[in-house]
Amino acid sequence: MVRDSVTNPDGFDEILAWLNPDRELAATMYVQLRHDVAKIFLWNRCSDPEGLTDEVFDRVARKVHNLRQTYNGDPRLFFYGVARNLVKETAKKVKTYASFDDAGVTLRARAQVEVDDEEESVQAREHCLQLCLNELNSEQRRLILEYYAMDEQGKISHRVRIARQLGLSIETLRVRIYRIRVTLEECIERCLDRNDIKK
Amino acid sequence: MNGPSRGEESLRQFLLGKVDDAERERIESRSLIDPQLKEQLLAVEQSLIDDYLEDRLTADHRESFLLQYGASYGQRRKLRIAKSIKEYAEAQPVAAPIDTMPDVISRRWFRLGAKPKFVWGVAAILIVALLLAVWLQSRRSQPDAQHLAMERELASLNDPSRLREVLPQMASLSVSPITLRKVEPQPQFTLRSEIRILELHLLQDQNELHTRYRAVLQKESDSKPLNFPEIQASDENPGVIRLRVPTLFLSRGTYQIILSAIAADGSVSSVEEYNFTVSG
Repeated sequence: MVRDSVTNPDGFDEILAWLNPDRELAATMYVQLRHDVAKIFLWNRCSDPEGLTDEVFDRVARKVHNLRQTYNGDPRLFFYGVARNLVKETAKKVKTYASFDDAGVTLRARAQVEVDDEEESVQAREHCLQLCLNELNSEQRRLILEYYAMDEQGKISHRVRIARQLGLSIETLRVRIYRIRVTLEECIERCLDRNDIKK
Repeated sequence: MNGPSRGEESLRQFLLGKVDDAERERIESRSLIDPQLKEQLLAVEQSLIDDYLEDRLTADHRESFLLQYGASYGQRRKLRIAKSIKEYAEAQPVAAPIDTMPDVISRRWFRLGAKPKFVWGVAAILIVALLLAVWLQSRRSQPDAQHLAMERELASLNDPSRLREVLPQMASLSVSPITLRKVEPQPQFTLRSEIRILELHLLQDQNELHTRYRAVLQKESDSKPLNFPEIQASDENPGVIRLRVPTLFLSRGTYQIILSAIAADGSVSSVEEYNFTVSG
């Protein structure tokens, strides 16, 4: 859903001031909060996380002037409350338009989707992957390739060995790999989008 | 060590949609205010994706996983990308083990191991250093996450498909490279609450046009630069590179942009510097 945000500049400025008195810090908190709220909609299987996130911020902007005087606690939790209500509203709408059986069938049909090769070609992905791997520094590149190396059988013990060599727990190693993978995946997505436009 | 820990298991259940509403709300709300939990949650999500791709999920978990992660095009695309990374890495020859302690150091250490006082002294220093490193890391991790979020926002705003949109509450500022600028004053942008996006028009030497660029924005006094995604030159407006920046990211001061042209082989072929001032 592409929608025009109705948040007015005053509401927007008040949200920033509510998040943190330091405007620069508030700005980074605002951006981070938008990502986090969108992720919550994704976890709740909502079909338009970005649109729903806009709706959350618009709703808060309309109330923020009073909230700043009356609400006690971390403002981010207020945003969460609004997001939670929207999840429930969205679920009700789905039930209004489709019976439980229909919704179940739809979800089941979607669930049949395996990791396929729709739209982008394998070659395009490989090309982008190589470009993006080159953008990592050599230590990151080596670690991520090492982490995913080996066949299925030896993989788990291989990862435990890497963690031990680096003096990390397996959980900390996963977090480290997660950070590298986020960078890599975002780079690949941008690269694939560019290829898509060129077609 | 091989299986998921208890905390990790409960996060996996959450991600698979197998927790009750109270637990879901507890995890979701904490993920907004506890950066460590959020990072752990996202790492568990990656590990769940790996388990799916490596066929290690039970039939029940596999079905729940697909309901959650196979439903939208964006999610399926993420799965395909994850699969490509995994397959590419598996096809690579296994690299040499990651070294953490060179042989010469370990040999000396074991020779000195015969002197207990020395060993305890070294151990105490190491513990202090470790505590210091943990403290420094905890101070660093939050700004890192914020910086990453800002770069993501820049990537989204400068996505080629979105650059065609004319956004409301946007102002533009033309900036010449330092090498071409004559005696005119440095371009200036005044912060105003109604302007949310600043579109920078970086003017280029008509004899030095390329198709791909990389750009980095840095405030003079700030040590951490913001990277833009790779930029494609526009056919409609040759000689001008457009960069969009949320005005939220700007504050009073002088900013520098380094624009690097990328040759066909991926190397940097030329570099230009642009400066502008933010006031207000």
